[in-house]
Amino acid sequence: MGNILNIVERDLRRLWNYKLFIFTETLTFLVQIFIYAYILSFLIDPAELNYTQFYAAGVMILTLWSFGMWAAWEIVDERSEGIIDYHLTLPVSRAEYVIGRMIGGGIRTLIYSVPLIFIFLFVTGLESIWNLLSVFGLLILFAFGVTGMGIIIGSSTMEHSKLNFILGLIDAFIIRLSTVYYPESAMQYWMKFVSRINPLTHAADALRWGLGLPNSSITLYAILFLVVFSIIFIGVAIRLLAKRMEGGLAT
Amino acid sequence: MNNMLAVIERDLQNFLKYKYWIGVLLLTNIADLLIMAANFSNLVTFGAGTFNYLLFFAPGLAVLSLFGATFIMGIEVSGERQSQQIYYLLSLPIDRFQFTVARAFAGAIRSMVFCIPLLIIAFVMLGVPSFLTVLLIIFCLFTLAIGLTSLSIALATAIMSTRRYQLARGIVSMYLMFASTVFYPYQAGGVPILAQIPILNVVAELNPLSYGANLLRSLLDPVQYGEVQLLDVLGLIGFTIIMVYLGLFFYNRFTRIA
Repeated sequence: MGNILNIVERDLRRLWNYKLFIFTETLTFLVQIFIYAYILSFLIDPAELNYTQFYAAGVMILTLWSFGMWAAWEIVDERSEGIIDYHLTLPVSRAEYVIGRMIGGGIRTLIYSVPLIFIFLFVTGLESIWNLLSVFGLLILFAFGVTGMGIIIGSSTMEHSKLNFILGLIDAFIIRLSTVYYPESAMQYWMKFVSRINPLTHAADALRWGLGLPNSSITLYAILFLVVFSIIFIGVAIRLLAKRMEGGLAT
Repeated sequence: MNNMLAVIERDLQNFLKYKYWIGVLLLTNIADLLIMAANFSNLVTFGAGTFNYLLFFAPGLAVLSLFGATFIMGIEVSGERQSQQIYYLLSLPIDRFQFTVARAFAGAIRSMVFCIPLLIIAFVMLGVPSFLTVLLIIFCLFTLAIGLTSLSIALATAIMSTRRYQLARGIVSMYLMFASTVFYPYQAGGVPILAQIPILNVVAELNPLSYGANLLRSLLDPVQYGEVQLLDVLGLIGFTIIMVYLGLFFYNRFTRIA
């Protein structure tokens, strides 16, 4: 347990190592809500949909997603720079190391997101604090699941260009085929189907329900989906990273 | 002239080094149009059926893709500085002026190649224009591409710190994309959209991506988007001249420092 805490502490000490990334993400978050979504909302009848509020909730989930996925870049950087090799020389078991990294990454994602959550609440308002708190646990689990996904992707390649390609491909389709940017009612049939098996859809819908945005709902299927998604990705990430590290990381 | 051709040839060959990046950028752009804009279009109630967001966005996306590809040149120049390859390039028997202009041209050609698939999609969606209009469109986009490539070179050579360069690139990219008419109309059917946002309405009129998107829309569908505006033509030419000058100035200054 002490070893896990040491690894988590190390990750948290490096909280502000990626200032540029945090600044860019924050700026993107603000520009997307206060400029992009705000202007686009003039094209939609507000009686049908308050697009700025709808979009803000989606972008909040996307920000959690981006911060979680950053784990992939970190893993690739550390692998290519040999930092993981150094870590392996420490008297820490593989499982402790990976669990520690996972918890550290998840907590960092949450810390990065807290200031943005306040800005976001300013835009969306809040109907019931209890509803929001009830989905908060689910969103924390989602953040850990995405971090796990980032670790799996980061463990699968050592090349930045390939990682860029994989993450770009995932972003191009997973984000656009979810309800982050538009409600499911706007999608064609095949897109609706993909959207239902997309964790971003369920996370965004859960957050909208937590905020009490009009026409939002949460189903048992969505809750189960997010729980299963997160558990699977956390589990696979722990096993995969521990396995990949075994015997060094030379390719 | 041969020297310039050699530089252009080298940069065109180098473009293939970014095959993953190009692939992702192209896929993202296509997904932006065929998934994102198509879905968003179903939500739009503005204009009571006369305003089609998907058709509006298609030319804007072609301009956006051109912009994305031009900035690769800046990243490349910044990378050459980091890897110190710049010293090798400076040792070549090529005039600095020719070298810089050739790089801007190469960047513009690369961007045009990248932009063509999205331009074809825009043609298919809005109707294939006449041969003369196609030539005009290519001329406008090429002019814009030279300006944007020069801007990316100027940024990469004016700012010495890599971190600061990345930051500046991010901020400039955000300004060019979101404070322009690429995603939203300035006004549609006499109703102000972007025009009703203070400050942004002025900033958007000083944005090269707005000039490119407006020109492309007017050339492709003058009935819907109006005739070509003089402001867009002059703005585009002015931007490109200024950026080529700044690109030359900063690259030259940078090579002297290097």
